[in-house]
Amino acid sequence: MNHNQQSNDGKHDDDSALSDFLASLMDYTPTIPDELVEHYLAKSGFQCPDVRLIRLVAVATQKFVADVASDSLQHCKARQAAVVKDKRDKQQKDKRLILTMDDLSKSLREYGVNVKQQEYFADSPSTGMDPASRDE
Amino acid sequence: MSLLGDDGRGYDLARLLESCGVWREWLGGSTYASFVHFLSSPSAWESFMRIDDSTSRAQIHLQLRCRALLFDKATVALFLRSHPTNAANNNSSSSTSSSSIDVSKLNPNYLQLHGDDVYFTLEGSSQDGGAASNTAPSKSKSSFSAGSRYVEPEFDSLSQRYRNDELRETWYNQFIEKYKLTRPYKLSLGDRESEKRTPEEMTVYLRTLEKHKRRRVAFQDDLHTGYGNTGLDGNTSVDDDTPFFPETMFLMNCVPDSPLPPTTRVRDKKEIEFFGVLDTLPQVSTRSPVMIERLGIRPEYLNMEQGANINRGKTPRKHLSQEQASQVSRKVIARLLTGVGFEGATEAPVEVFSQFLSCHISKLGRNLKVLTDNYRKQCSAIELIRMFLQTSGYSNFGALAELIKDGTSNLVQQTQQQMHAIQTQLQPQHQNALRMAQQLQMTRQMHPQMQQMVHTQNLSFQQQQQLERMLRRHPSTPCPVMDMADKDRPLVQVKLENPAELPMDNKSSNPINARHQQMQFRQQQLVAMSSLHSQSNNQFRQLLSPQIPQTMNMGGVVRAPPVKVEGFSELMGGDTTLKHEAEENKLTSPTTTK
Repeated sequence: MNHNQQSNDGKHDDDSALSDFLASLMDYTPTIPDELVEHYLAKSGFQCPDVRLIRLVAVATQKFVADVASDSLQHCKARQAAVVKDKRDKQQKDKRLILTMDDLSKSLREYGVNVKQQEYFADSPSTGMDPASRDE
Repeated sequence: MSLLGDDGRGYDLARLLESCGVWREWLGGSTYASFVHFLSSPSAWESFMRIDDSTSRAQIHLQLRCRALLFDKATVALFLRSHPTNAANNNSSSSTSSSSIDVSKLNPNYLQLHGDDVYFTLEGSSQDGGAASNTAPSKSKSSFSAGSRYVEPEFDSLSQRYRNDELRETWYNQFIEKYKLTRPYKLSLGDRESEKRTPEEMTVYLRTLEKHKRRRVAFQDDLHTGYGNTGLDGNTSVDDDTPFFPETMFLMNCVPDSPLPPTTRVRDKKEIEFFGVLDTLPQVSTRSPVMIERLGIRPEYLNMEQGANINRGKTPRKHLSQEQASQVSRKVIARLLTGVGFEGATEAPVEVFSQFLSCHISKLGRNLKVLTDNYRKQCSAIELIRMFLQTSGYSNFGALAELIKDGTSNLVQQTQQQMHAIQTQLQPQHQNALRMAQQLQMTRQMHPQMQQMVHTQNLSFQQQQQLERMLRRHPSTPCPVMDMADKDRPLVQVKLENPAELPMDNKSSNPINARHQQMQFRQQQLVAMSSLHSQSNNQFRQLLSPQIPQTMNMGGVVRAPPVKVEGFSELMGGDTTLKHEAEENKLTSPTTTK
């Protein structure tokens, strides 16, 4: 009985913590606007007029996207750090951190999203082949 | 068929029918007289039922008629599955005893002739000119309903069949004649013809038919075990005499066009509000002392009634189109990348990232929908939200709370840094251009009415021209929220996010100088606005309230301003009228503040 009471108390504390967290969402404006979140939530069939829930989704998405972006930043920095020393002077001007598709695809792959692009596009199956083998 | 015995002649059943007086009814008086002596002994019965070359035509016909009735009454054994009488008989070794047991258990009422049962006599159709009779003995029902085109010709053929027949006194003729005398022709059920019967009437008819079948139970045990369930004994009751002629053909027009039952109530057109399980999230149980005690501000959602929706009563939000949503997504991604630390991005990653953002929001929406649809009865709103956070990977929402805290603290920190920077360095460079850029930002944040006032009354001509030039040069706003924000919403929310943008937009200028110019401009604007105090609205007051109460001159003494978080009241939300009045006094008499 005591254990049940303790678990009930713990659950009540969790509920109150979650309620306070939801209340704090009203004091914070996520980067993602509420209208945008509502638009995509409505597309998926969910509609809730409560702003706290909209902001909860916005904050969760913001956190998720920020994690992906920070991973991409790490990849970008690692890519720049791996530049050969003698080439550093030439690329001194390009030390700006610019997000490329390469960095993004590497970070998204960790989250199970494959955005790898084709390395090149060929107009026929024999493009790029040796002429001798092409004749065959 | 066990009721007909092993030899299939059915002597016991015939004897039982004789005891009930059925043969006389069935065969008629004259025919019965020539038939009855065959029931005296089993051997006589066997000789009657045997067919050989010596059997006359009349005897064959008589035999067929007897067989028809015997077979019809014995068919009940075909439909018995686990009847206790039958099961006991199957285990018995004696065949005669088994058939006798079955026969003795038959209900006498069942053995009687009824008008709703048609017993085809197995006679050939060559004798009559009517419709061909059914050669196979079957217990089929014919409709005696008047008015049905399927019935009267059949009945006429029946009567026609036996018109020239030697077996004139048939049971059907007698029954119908008797029925005509006692009761007029009446439909079995309902006042309408069967083809015009409604689905409801059809349902009633089928129920009556079912009840009628139950009354006509075959075995006496069924009466007592509840199958009969009406308390009827074997005797003919008044209910059995009720004329009920089941129909054999159910016309198609009794099948309804729609499976939905017809509703006759007036359709209520008023809108009914539906409350989802997540529409009424629990309110905050504890009130923040900061909000209540210091500022007397109560969060807006606490002002609503318990259980009421937060957004109800507000103006409807603007809906985005697909193109607008994708555009806003790209801007959001640009801002997020900037916040993370990127200095730039190519077009493809931004496009991919924005689609990724939209897909993720849609995925979260689908999760929410699945959870609410499946568990709305079992779980409360808080439990559903907890489940949602768990599926999203934030079972411990501390990470989200940290994000919120970091976001809020960064804003405070930036504001404080602005204050310090203005105190230490005063470098008036690029004043006009920066002032116009900031003025553009400020005016866009203002209420349109106030914006118009600023444009027309308070700006000097030169400033107006510069402002117009800026407007023409920078048509797009740097902040996506400003475009999409509702006009009635306080725009201070945008303002909180914007201070970091100024250094990004004007890279050539000193960021510290930009902040200084912003403060200067605000002071000037405030003086201009003081004359319009009576016409301003609450939103504008909130916008002006966090103004720094300082009088900074270009070369004058810099007084340390009070530490104040810009937009603090907007963070807390609510009405800041009281606070604004104090601020106004401070603004008009800055020397009093220290």
